[in-house]
Amino acid sequence: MEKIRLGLIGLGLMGTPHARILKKVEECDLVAASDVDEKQKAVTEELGIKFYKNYEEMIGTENLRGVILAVPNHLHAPIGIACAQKGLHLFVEKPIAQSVSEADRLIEAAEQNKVRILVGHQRRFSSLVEKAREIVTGGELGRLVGVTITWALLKPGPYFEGLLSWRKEKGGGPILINLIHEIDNLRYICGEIEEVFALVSNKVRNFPVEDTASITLRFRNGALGTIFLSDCTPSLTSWEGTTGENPLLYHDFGNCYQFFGTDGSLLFPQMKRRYYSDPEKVGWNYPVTEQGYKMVREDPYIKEFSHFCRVVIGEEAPRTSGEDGRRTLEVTLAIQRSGETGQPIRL
Amino acid sequence: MGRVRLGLIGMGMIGKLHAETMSRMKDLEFVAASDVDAKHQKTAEELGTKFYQSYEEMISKEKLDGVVVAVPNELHLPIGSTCAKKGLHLLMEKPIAADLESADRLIQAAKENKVHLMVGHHRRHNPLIEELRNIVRGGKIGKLVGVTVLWSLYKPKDYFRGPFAWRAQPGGGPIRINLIHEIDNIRYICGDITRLYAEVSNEARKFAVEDTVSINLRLAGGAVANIFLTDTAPGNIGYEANTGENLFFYHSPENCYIYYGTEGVITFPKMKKFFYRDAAKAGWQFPLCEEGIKIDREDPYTRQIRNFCGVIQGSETPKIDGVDARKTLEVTLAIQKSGETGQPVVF
Repeated sequence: MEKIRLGLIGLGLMGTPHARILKKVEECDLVAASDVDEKQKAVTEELGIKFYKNYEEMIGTENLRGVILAVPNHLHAPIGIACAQKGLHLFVEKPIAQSVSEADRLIEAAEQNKVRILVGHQRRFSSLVEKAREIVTGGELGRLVGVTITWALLKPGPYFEGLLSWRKEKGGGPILINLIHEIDNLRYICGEIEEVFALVSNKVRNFPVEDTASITLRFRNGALGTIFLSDCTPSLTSWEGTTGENPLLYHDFGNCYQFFGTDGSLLFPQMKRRYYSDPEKVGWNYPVTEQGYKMVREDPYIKEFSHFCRVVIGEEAPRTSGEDGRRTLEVTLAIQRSGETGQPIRL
Repeated sequence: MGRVRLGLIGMGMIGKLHAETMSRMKDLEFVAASDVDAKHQKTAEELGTKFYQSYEEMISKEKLDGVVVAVPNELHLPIGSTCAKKGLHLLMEKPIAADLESADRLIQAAKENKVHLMVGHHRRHNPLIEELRNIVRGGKIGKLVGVTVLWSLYKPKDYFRGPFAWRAQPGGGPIRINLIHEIDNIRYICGDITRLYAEVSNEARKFAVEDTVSINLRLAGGAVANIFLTDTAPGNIGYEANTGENLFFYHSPENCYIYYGTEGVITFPKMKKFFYRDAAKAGWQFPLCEEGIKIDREDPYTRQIRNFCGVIQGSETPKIDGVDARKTLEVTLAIQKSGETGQPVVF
């Protein structure tokens, strides 16, 4: 297969590691990257790719097939649309856009210009999530009745300081920044969410943004979801604190999700399925049998970018399409709104 | 005052447990027991206590100080009031009554006849729960941020059959029967509930009654709590199975509650505290410390009866009186209502 020529826009917190990873992806050739900040040129020199200060110049000059968008959320739609108009396939970092209406405009532009969108919800490429999806959708748990998610940890003081003080303000908190990942995971594993409710609190940090939330979801298949979210408690019960997929954070080997079905339950990410092995001995007075799954750890980012290359050449349909990214955003924003209004929201 | 003289009304599953408990206790006199079903005479004889088929005959013939009432919910008010009129102190099994109006009338009857009314939320007498309450209220995990409660115990088919077919009907499900204990625990440990929301589902069993529930609570101090409850998934997670308090349930050493504070996290019933030892190394990139908490186990049913005797003798106050138990019932019924209407309930 001919290497796909890609460019990257935005060499910030996400873009810089993306550039490094893209250099390791066999299917693509990262030829250039752009950033409004000239300082980021150093990264491109290190990687031996061209640097542009102006992304428009980059997409006009280089003969690219696709771009990786790792710019601030409010620029996803305008830059994405400009790239689509040049016929470039789009990898858009999550969230797809800052609002549902902007997501719609981006999706429409992609359709009109016949380019495909892959939204960067990289957890869908985690082998743990892939396995959980296979177990749940494959019926190994019987009929899914519910799922519990805990995302509880302590963000350290510096997380909110200096240039990052926007994280104290509305929209900079754990619902839009962190929970969106949990929502996308749940949609991928359990199916569509059709109703949400949230109680939110900022009583610990007293910032304008929430620090804690208690959330209920109803899935279209009838299952219920319960989420506890907090960034102000000394806990490792979170995706980050249990999966080890973020090398910057400490983790041990607990569980952050538990899936419940009529025939079994699944502890995640320990990947242990519990069920009654003897049909004569089913019920709360009997022990459960526990079964493990052998897992192979793979780098989800490399898998994701390889997949993007196959999306560009039309070999695969995007695992997280624009519509999918839009829906994940819509559900997450609805949770935020429910927290504000105190009312459940049907989607 | 000599040894407290107690009688028992109702010798079903829980009544029998009370009978066995009272017959073992040296500091009281278990005078007599009654049940409409004569087959229980044998148990009474084995336990060395007199048996009556009519409770009215028992309370008029025997000189009693108090009665333990373990009859079906709708009989709590009529039987409780009759006993109160005879000047007998009451230990009513939970729930206090079938509905709030009956609870009010029973509280009134006890007040008018100057007898104590105590309610059998026995978990409040478990040393594990008492310690958890002391930890939370004593600020030992800082300010309370949130609570997660999981109850996933599989009810076997027989649970719903024959004379127990009412358990498949509205009111006979896990909210009224099982969840009420969780609500009372949360109220006892954390204080009042100010707002709640519930989603219920009966999709798995398709009975008229719910099988799965997701609940969000706001607590008076500003913390939030989640409850996920299902009686149709093999999980073996739930207070009954995890504490080993009632060995009818298969004892699995798991955690069913996690209490999250700003300075620490407590798992229950393993009673492990997690925290950051060094304030300069607090946050998601650092390891957590784990510390055990020593608890002396003691049978909660025995302690409950002992408290009842102390109340009768005037040396103790009831761990849970009628007004308190009415509040637990009120919250539980509100959860049922929220599930039906799809609306939050505010207290």
